Amino acid sequence: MENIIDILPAPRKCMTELRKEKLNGSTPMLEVNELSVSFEENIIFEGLSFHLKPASMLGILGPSGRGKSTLLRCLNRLIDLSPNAKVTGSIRFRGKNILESKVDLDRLRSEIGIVFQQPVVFPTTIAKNVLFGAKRLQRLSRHEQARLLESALRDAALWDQVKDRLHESANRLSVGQQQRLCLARTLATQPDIILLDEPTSALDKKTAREIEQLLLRLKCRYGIILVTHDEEQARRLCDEILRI
Amino acid sequence: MTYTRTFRNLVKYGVPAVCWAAGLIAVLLILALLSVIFLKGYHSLEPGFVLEESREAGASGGIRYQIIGTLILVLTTAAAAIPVSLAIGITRVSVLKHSSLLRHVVDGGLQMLNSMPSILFGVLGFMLFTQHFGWGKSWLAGGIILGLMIVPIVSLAFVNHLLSLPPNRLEAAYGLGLSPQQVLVSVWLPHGWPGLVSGLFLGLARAMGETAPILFVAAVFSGAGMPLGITDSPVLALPYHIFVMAQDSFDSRAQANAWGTALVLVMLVLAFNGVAYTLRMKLHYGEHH
Repeated sequence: MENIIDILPAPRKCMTELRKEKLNGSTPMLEVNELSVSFEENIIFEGLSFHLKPASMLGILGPSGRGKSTLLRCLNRLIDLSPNAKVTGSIRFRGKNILESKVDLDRLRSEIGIVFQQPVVFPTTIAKNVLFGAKRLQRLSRHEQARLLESALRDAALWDQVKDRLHESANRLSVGQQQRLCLARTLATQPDIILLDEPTSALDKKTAREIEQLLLRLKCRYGIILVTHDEEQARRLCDEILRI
Repeated sequence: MTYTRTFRNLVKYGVPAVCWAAGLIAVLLILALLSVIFLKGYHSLEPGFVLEESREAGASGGIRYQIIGTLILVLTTAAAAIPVSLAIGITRVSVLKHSSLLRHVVDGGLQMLNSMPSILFGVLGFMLFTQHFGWGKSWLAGGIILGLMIVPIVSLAFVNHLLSLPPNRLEAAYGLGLSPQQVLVSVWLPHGWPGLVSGLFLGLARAMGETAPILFVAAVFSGAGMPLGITDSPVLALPYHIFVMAQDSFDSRAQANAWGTALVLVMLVLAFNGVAYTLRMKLHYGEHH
């Protein structure tokens, strides 16, 4: 299978000199080697190798049905929820192969967060949605919860729109706002890496551009892997592109 | 050509007409039943009837202890049915999710249990509690037996609601790093509550009107008040009271008492259904708004 990594020359908006140094010199936070996935007899992809550096965005491009979303689900072991999936190869995160059986999956998934193609909001308030994972993963006082809520919503560029209706149902938000809410929910768990599965494909162009601006800001602080079928978007946002 | 058009017209107008007729029959039946019970029973419905004890073997006086006994049985039934149904529902969607054989065994078992004649539960309770444990007639035995009887209704409603959980919510919760136990408590159960509540109140409404199971293990016709212990502590109950009063066809006071008791029972059942409907709507609204 085709497996090419393009290093894009153009600096991105938040590419400070410091960050460039970090990109060029730092060790990868995630290293994938010879990764293959199959469901019973059906091979989804095989022999994939790539890495993700800190504070950078890796784009994964490819046509539908090539296993882009499946690849993302391997990176935080959500693939384990699919009973017939067979995964081989290695994925090293913090020096350990996360495909080994003794890995703490709950901790791994909190460190490698994921945002799906369609926003998935829980049937509760905006505030409870944002803190849905965070307050269950760590003990937080009310004050800490309030601070985390505000910072996550600010990071997701949603605070100004929802600060006066935090206790309203999240279902009343627009699809674009729901997607940002999902991003805020993932950010609230303070992950090191964020996996984004075509996060703008369900949105109109204007909202998609707003999310893109948001991602450009976030990639200064997180390692991000973005699955997209939009090559232009990948070139606008990503430091490296993997085609599968 | 004409034949086809006639057939189409028959389908176009005939099928909706049959559907409307079927719906109308159901509505008319329930209206007729409620009307008869109301018209025959409302004469008895006065404060003394619900507040006083029975006198003259039920022919006069009120039905205070029959109402209290029925409510004790219903609360015990709920207490017995909820944990078992919760356990079945949770096991069904977690432990058995990868075993289709066991799933079919559990589902089939629940369906079979649901179709069991209620008198068999009475016989089971009699053998177990009255004979084996030596409890005599006991409100607790009655509640447990009625609880077991409604477990299929409650757990099937609960399981069906749990299984309607969108898979992406599970994936989102696991994706945040929640453990399976946390996902159960924060995703599965909040989604399943409306099903559990609906099933529970439907089951309780059915249990409230059952005579056969409590006849063996819990209810007596007269001579019981508030139960003060567990063993040899029978209760009076509305359906049993109706059953005995209705057999006394020569005493018009007994007949009037039976219709009045039936009206109280119907009102209790309707009140339970009303609570179930309100709770279901509230939980449903919370889920979607």
